[in-house]
Amino acid sequence: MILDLETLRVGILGLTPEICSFCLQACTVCLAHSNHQSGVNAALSETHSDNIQLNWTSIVDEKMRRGWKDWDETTEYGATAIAILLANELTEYPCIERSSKGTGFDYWLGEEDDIGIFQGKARLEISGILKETKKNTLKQRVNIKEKQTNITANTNMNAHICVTEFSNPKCAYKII
Amino acid sequence: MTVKELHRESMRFIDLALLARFDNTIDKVKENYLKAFELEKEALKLFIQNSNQEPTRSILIRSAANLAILSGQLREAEKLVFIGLTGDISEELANEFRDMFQDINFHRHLALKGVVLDTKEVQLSLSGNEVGHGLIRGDEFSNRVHTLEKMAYRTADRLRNKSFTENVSKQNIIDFQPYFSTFRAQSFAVTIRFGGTIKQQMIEGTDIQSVIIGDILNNIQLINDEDYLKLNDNITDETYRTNFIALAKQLAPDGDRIKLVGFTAVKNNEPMTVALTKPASKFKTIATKQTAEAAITVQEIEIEGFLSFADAKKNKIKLSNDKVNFEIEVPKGLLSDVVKPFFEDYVIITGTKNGEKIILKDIRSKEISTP
Repeated sequence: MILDLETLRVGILGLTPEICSFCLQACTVCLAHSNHQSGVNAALSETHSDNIQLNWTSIVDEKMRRGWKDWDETTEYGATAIAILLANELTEYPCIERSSKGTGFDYWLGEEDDIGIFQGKARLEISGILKETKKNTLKQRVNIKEKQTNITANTNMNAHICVTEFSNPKCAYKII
Repeated sequence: MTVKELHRESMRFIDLALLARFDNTIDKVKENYLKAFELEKEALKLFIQNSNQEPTRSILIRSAANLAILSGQLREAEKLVFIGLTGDISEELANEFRDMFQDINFHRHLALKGVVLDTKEVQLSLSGNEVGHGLIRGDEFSNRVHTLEKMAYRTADRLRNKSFTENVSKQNIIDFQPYFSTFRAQSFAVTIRFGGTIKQQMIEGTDIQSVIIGDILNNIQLINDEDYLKLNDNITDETYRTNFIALAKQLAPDGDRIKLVGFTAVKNNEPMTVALTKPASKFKTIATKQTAEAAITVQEIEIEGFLSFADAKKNKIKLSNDKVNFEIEVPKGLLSDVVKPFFEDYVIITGTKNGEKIILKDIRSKEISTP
């Protein structure tokens, strides 16, 4: 599968070009941090298995790096970019809804509906790891997210978990 | 507009607020959050005219309430939280509403409620799971008071244009020794007075303590707003700035035991309130200058062990565990105030590693760390 990160620039799945471009920039900063070039491969695991080629044309310069000093934040938004693109490729849902929640967002996958906005949709949990360590692996992060998602199991909704690791790029996309 | 269109438009203004925060245009942040709140409120009104379906209803309410808090519309947020809690909702959502109510309520507690503050005094208010009605876990209170005390000493030196030295001057300890009122049971609040007898004036008609308190609260507000550009203007010396950010992080809530930390002082006969709501884990770590090349070669690391050795002259510490010893360089401004309290503790250190060189970014106790 080929993921062209630049498609985010125009906004996809109902998200604004502004937020998609913002996530794209964070994603390329994370990839450049590990010295990756466009065309780098990332293994996809869990519900879907594949080999993803990540393509981009943006150039990460010093000015861009200066704007992304907080690596936790950069990784979170970088992982959001990948999750949006994977949700677009791997699911039938035509849109992602967000709602403001504390300091972050809830992400929901769903369908166009003129009455409400969240009915019949699935929760999308996103997480990122800049560099995997023994105590912070992709698998462990998926398990943590899965446990967190179990809290809301009584809503009878599917949960999609998407975790991305940037140093040796790999992604997990799990539907529970 | 439909519910969806209103909601999407609200999210667009959140995006603009987010981008404004990155551009450090703080006025625009609040302005955009306010627009986002008004649109989300309209989306909610329209939705409940036609449907009562959960979790949509509660999620829209929560989103609107959160935006009300972010835009300073606390009464609106309070009303929305109570409407949210009346729904048939999951325990997880109910807990989120309860947390929001605690947040809103805390802002009310920052009001002085009849307590008269002198210009040398600041009210410290704390709220969270380790805070009862007038009761608090000892270390959560005492550690923050010590941190505030260190901030006062450092700010006094900085405002007097003194160079940063790791050891606090004995004169400052005498001049700005904190005195406490009896504790008050509004969340948990106490008045702290800096210095009992000092008469020194910084500006005519203004005591130095009030200048220090005003400066500290202004800078805490900037950190909470992530307005680091303005903070750089206020604290131009990098060592003082590094020290201040690290101390503010120690004051900050952990998000569980302590959820909110607030300050109230009096400035120009008007109450001045600052709520430090940003959890310590969300703080920007020490901003060190990094070249493009370094950004690629420098590796972020996390190590743990006993902090057993410190060399004040070389600004170095040693960390040891069962397997290995680490020598870690401590940036200027952190050794005495930030690292020293952890001496002989088992700690977790985050830092950057370039070759064999490790530079400290953050330190926390293993025992009290949160996941």
